[in-house]
Amino acid sequence: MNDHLRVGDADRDRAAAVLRSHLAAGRLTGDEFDDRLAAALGAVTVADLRQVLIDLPGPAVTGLPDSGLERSYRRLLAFYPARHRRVHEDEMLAVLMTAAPEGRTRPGLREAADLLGGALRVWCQPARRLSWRGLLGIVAAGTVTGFLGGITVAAASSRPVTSTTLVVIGRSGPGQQPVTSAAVHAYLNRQIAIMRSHQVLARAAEAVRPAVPEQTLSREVHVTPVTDRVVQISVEAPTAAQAVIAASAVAVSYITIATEHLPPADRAGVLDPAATLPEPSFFSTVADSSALGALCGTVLGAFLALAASRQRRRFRIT
Amino acid sequence: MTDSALREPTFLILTALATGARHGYAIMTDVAGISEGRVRLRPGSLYAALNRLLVEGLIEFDREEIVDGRLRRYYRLTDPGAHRLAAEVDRLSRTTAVARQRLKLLTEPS
Repeated sequence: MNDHLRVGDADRDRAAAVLRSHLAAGRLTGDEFDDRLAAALGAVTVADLRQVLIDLPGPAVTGLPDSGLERSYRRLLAFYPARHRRVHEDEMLAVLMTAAPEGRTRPGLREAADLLGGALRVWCQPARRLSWRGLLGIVAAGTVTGFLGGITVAAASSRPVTSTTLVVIGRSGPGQQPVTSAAVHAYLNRQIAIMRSHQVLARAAEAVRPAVPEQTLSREVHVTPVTDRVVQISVEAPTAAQAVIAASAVAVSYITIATEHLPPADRAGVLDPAATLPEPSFFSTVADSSALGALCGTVLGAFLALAASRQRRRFRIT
Repeated sequence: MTDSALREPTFLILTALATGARHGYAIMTDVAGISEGRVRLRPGSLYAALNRLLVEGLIEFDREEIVDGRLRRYYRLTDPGAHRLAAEVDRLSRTTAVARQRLKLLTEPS
């Protein structure tokens, strides 16, 4: 609050009214009141008025700073862009205080909403009229943002690779084969259970390089029957090489553990070795998604630039 | 290229400034008066509009005064602003003329 600011008639009248209320309340004698009233009516600056009321309780006389209402308004005005505040804050505050109904101590809900809405609109307004260079800048910014966004997305979303191998299950004993359909199914299910068993997976996990915990392997292995005698083993891993190694390891581990005791002709075997779909190289993935990002960014930037230029043109040709 | 219509608050602000420079609070009360109390601008909306009109060069600063320790800044129409308002008035009067003529046909069938 600036004590050197000059006061107006409204401020002097307000001070006089305050003095009268203190006279009525018995805080001032008649003589004191007369002296102070003369001083109030002759006040030139805020400091003069303050001196008149210095030992009396009550709010500041001149509705100037220090009032809670003004502080509340300033807090709301803080939502405006700095460049707008530099130019308009003081006059907006003056308008707000002038428009505020007598006796108001806090901004109303609608006033607050109006100020925040105004702030949002000012944030969305361009600081000055856009030149062609500015419009090109918007397009270029869109392109660059889209390009970088595409690279980020490609790098962040490296999907795991699945490798699949087909295994022919072994015979139930030397030269033996389940006969009835129910027996065939029971035998098949037992073999699948063996493939997922702790023994098989632990052995497979040991064989995999770099080493993988058995729990991880157990989570990533999927075993599904293809026919009565053929089972598909799929393993998911971050890279194709790891997936292939893990799928092969599970197949070999099963063959060894389940049918090692059988003659070679009756043992289980790999029908189709582990493989993966050809994996697109990291660079081609990045190139694709960054190009797509740049394209989308350019279109969006052009759209924004077009919107801005339409607004500009609308008002320039009059 | 034809101008698109001014929004009503913008139109009223330009109208308020057509008689001379005014400060923010005076624009608010004048706009309420011109619109017969229908459009009541609040400070947030008023200054968002003034800021846009300044950027578009339709209005400009006139002068500043300090009254009761408070800043009053006056705004005035620029030449483009006056042209813009005149164009809008022409457009509106052409539209109202057509509307009036058609209403007349409606009430006095031949």
